[in-house]
Amino acid sequence: MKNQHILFYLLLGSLLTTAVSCSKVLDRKPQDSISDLNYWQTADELKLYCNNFYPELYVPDQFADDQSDNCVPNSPNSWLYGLTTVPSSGGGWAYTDWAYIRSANYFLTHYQTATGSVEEIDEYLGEIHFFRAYEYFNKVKSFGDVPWINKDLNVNDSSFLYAPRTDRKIVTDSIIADLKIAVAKLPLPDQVELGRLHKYAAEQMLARVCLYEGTWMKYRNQSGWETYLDQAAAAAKDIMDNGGYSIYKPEAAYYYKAGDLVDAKTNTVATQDYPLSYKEQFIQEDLTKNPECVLPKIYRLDQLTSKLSRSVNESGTGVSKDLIDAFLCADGKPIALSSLYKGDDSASVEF
Amino acid sequence: MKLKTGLGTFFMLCSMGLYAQQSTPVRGTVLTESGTTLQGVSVRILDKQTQKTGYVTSDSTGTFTIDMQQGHPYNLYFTYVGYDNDSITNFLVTSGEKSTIMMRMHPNNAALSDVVIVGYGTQKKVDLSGAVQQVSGEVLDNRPIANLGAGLQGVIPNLQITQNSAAPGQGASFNIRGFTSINGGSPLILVDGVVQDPNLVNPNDVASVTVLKDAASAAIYGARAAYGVILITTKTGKHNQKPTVKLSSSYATNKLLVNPKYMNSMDYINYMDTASINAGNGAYFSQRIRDGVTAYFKDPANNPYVLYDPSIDVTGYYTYVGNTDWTDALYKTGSLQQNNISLSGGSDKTSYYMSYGNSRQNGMLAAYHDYYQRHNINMNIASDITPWLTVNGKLRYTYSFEDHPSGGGNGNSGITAISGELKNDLRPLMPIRHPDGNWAGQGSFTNPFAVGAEGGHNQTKINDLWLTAAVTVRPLKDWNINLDYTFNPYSNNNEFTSRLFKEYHADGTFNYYPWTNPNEIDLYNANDYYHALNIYSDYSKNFGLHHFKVLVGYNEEVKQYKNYTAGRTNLIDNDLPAINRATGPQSVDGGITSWAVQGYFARLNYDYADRYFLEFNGRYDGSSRFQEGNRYVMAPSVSGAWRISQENFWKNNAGLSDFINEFKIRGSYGTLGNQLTDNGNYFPYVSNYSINTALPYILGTENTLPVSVAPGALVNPNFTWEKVKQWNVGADLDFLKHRLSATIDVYSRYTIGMLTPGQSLPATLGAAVPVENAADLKTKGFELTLGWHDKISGDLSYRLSFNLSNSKSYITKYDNPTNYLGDYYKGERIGEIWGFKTAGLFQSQEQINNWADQSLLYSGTWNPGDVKYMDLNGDGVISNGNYTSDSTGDMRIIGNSEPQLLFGFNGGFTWKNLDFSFFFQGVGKQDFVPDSRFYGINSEWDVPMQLASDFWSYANTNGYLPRPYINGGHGNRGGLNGTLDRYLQNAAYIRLKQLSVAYTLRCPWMKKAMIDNIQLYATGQNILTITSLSKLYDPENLSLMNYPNTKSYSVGINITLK
Repeated sequence: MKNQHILFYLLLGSLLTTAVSCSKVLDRKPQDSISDLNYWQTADELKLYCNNFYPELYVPDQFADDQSDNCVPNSPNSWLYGLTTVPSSGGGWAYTDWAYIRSANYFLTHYQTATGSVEEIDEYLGEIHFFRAYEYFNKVKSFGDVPWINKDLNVNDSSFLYAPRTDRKIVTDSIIADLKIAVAKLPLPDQVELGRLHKYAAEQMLARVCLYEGTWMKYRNQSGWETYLDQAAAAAKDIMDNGGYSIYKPEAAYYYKAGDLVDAKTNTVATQDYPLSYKEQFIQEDLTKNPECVLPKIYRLDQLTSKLSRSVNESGTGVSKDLIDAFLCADGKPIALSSLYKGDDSASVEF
Repeated sequence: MKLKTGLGTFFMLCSMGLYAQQSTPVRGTVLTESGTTLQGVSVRILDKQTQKTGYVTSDSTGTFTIDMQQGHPYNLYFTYVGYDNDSITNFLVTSGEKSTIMMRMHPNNAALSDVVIVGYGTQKKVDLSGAVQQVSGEVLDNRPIANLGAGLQGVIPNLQITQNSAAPGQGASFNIRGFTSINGGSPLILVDGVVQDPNLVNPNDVASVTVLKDAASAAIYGARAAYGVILITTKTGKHNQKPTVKLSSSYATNKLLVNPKYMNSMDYINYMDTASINAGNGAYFSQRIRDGVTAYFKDPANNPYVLYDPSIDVTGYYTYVGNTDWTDALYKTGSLQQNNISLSGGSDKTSYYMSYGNSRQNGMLAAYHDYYQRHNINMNIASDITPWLTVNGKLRYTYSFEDHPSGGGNGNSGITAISGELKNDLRPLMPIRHPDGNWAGQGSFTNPFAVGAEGGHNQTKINDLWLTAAVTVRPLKDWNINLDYTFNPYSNNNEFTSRLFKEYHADGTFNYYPWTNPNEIDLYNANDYYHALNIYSDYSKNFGLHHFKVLVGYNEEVKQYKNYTAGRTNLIDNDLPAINRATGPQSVDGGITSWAVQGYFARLNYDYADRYFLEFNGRYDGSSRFQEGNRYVMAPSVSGAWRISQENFWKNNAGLSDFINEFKIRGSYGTLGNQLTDNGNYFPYVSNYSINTALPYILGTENTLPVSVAPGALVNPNFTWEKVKQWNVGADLDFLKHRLSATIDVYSRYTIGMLTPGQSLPATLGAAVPVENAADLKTKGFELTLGWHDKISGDLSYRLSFNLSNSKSYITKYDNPTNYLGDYYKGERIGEIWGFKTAGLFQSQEQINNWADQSLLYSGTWNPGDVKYMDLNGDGVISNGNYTSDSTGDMRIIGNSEPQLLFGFNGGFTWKNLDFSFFFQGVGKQDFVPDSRFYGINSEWDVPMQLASDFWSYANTNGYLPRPYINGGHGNRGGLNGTLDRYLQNAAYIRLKQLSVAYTLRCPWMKKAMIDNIQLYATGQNILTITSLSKLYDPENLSLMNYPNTKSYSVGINITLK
């Protein structure tokens, strides 16, 4: 009987211990995901965060010229035909269209806890300012006045959520301010990872924004446009003077022999479209070595490729006759003057 | 109480040899406890020496007479409806002795002494005050069911079982009492008290299944039990039972239950030409194809099924003109084999049950040998170490393996592991193979047979081990302390391959089938661990007629998940899929997460004189899914019952109490929080950043794509538990000596604070508006069970049971101020189908001209043979108004897609050694909106089914379907988000789920082999269906492209050794 009592009390004791020791069992944290609880510690985390913005950068597609007389899409371009209507929702104003702005603001309210060298942190801070400016610049181009939001909002931030649109000029000035921060904080091209933003990429964007806005004001007779164009010129000048960029020239040398283009190295007929270098201008596969290129988009086989050269062959859009007629003949004269131009009865006659 | 007056037995031993062949009439009397005689008692007589049996029945004076051989030991078995079975064994008559038999029979209180499993304990059925129903594992016996769920369908009212796919190894999902929440919600399923996947349980091991339906009985399980609890209890051994071995084996063949045929080649090209011409085009097929098809159709022996002329077929492809019956080609007969062996028994201290079972389900795909195999081992040993201490060890192990075709990793082939192999575009013109033996399928033709046979495999292995140790201590009489701990390691391994195969063209060139190119292997491995700890104690005490029972306890469960995937493309050897033999880009991913619950629970039962019952249940439940400070929720409930039949006025009124033997009314109410177990989000209060491990933007010189991180979705700071409140009122009645029993329950369930997307906010928020607890739902329903069992004579008894249930759900709150019908709206009944009433088909242009304007449905030209919509609001235009519930134009609610009036009806009879049973199951009311397969085609790539042949044409103006067009419905299948009453399908059905005949053999010779009995049986499953639904569909599988349901015939044998 004694044993039984001992057993019984042992059991009771173990019950109580278990119950007490398990009181923390519900304290679980996400183990395979990152959240506010465990992010914003290192400069490298800032970098990963910035990476997310890069695909937002504009890359031409086969429809880029659909709004010009260079291309004839298979259905009429609603912009060219004046048929564009403002949709009741979306149209660049869906919440997903504001997600990158929120994301940039989220960075700006959270990055302070990260530790690292000032240069590193400044680089990513500069990138974020660049991207916020980039996003807002697109918004201004589409909508004019847009609400300027500089913090990450939650459902209860009604003063921001229901705020009226901010005047275009204020928004543009904020964009320019962001870009100036980016220019100041971003390192020089040779100090950043290949393909990342650097000082001159931001400055080039600054020039573009100022040029766009100054021109927009000038043709609407709004005062103060000169300041913007001056800033554009100054930024462009700085890139030209200090950026180390130059006009692309093909490495090979060519000469003409009996009307054929000949490669000077091999003395064989070349297929290069020298001196215009159309191929390099439009579909050069690697822009990283091109001295004209400020910010290359990089493609690598098996990693990331572009479908552009395939897409342009597909139906959907094609070049217009107007574009073809704009080309000069081999003698350098326009088709109206050149004796080489035989009319356009068929492709074989024309080319 | 039995009394044997056999004075002569003493002399039996010496006199037996001499008088063995003498027979003596023995008279017997059967009495009730109070001494009145019982007429009609059946007595089965077994002469143990000769193993001969006979039957007699007591007469109006309660007496019977048996001629007995002197010296033979006899067993007598007494059965009478309303009384317990009783027996006298080894009764001997010797010469010269006058023997009489007197039997006093006890009233049968079986129904009253039935014990029902409830949360953390058991209760007598008569003491229940909540809505609890239990069935014994016998409902699963002798049935060719692939999993437990399939065997429970239709057995318990308002326990709805849905088979997700009929592909081998696919489990069933469970629902209790209808639509739960717009976010989904399923019952908590516990196997011996722990959260195991019921689809991995061996149905042969199941002793009982209990469903806790109302909030009161489920409340003890807290925040996971908002939508009811299913308690599955496995078999155990019994004390003082001889070792019993049971062997069982069965084999079933599975055939297509519904065989929807595509049109044959001739009908197909005619249909396509007609549809093309109707749409204003020319004939769809060229004369060359038409000639080829016609020739092959008429005389397949002497004409080719492919054409190739290099000057015409410049692509190098064959032109197909065959006539393939794809449903016949793609499906074959499958099978299900099941084998089980169990050993059970016990001494007075120890009991044990051990079993091994395996089942193998061979699928029906003709191209790929798809199958599912499961092995189950189960052990359960309990021992009373001391009078106050019982220890119990349990082990359950399941290994399963399933093998399916893969269909390629990107899903573009349209074939997945568990889909069927029919496709929209299976043109009969395509053969399975070209004349040269290569697979057909080229260009726009996909050959699902080739994809199934060659495209790779998708194999899953599951190892699931459950170990439980339990201790019960009884410190005092009527005081039990239980502690049990369960540990479950679970692993799931999946191997998915894509296999390259060639599509040869007529000119000898080939390409690889694009959707399994490149070949690849993907491995998935999940290792999960689960722990459960239960400590609970109950104590009973009676103070005179006041009975009290109290239970308090603690429960803690933790589940940890860890998985990873690894994949790589470009296998060196197509037929040796191994990850170390692949050379292409590789991908890895993984996940690790966990959940825990912790609850303190209590129950108080009180009853007065077995007449008035009161029960309080409560659980203070915590879940790791909520933020600290908001983690715990109280789930209180109360229930009460009044056993009116125990009242003296009832008992003393013989007329009443003889007719209604048992009458109890019950009521309950409870509130449960719902911890949202269904949404798969273990930390809904944390906003997880999204990680992209391969950002499509190259940065740097590394040969990999960079990683990027983006902030997560917004989380509502006010986010909290969904609450479920439930009322239940019910009654239990037994009539006519307990032969007829009835249980009825009526309930209302309110789901409060369902998470829905919050109110609209300006897009400048930059994120999706987070969900908030903003919507309410009400579900009302009832369930009814009627049972009848009786014996006609000693060797013929029968039983019938019917159950019926229904539920309807309404949205009572939803943030949709305009009552836009494209979303939930306040007052909406779940499942309602909005549509248009129609008045047949137009027969002439004149009719069209004089009819309402239908241009909003289709702005093109309406033609004879198109559907005539009824202008119900008389405005001359068919419209859906503003498409809000206040302005619906001509649109009306024309049906409801939720199944209603679900019923099950089973019964059977036992005659001597023969047992016959049947089981019908069905749905009384359900509407179904047919898909485009029903109408014919949706585009030129579709192939119409044979059943779509009855369409309108000038030659067939009575056609059922509208005039077909090659490029869409042209308003003939509804429009404006409405459907058409003309084509709405009535999916109500009644199905003979099971029909079984079993014969039990008991022969003298078997004793020598220790065989107690051998049972042979034959069962048919799904063998008859009555429905008015289109023959394209199976009412339990309303999509043609799903893996088809089966009709099974099985034979089996059960051997019991003692």
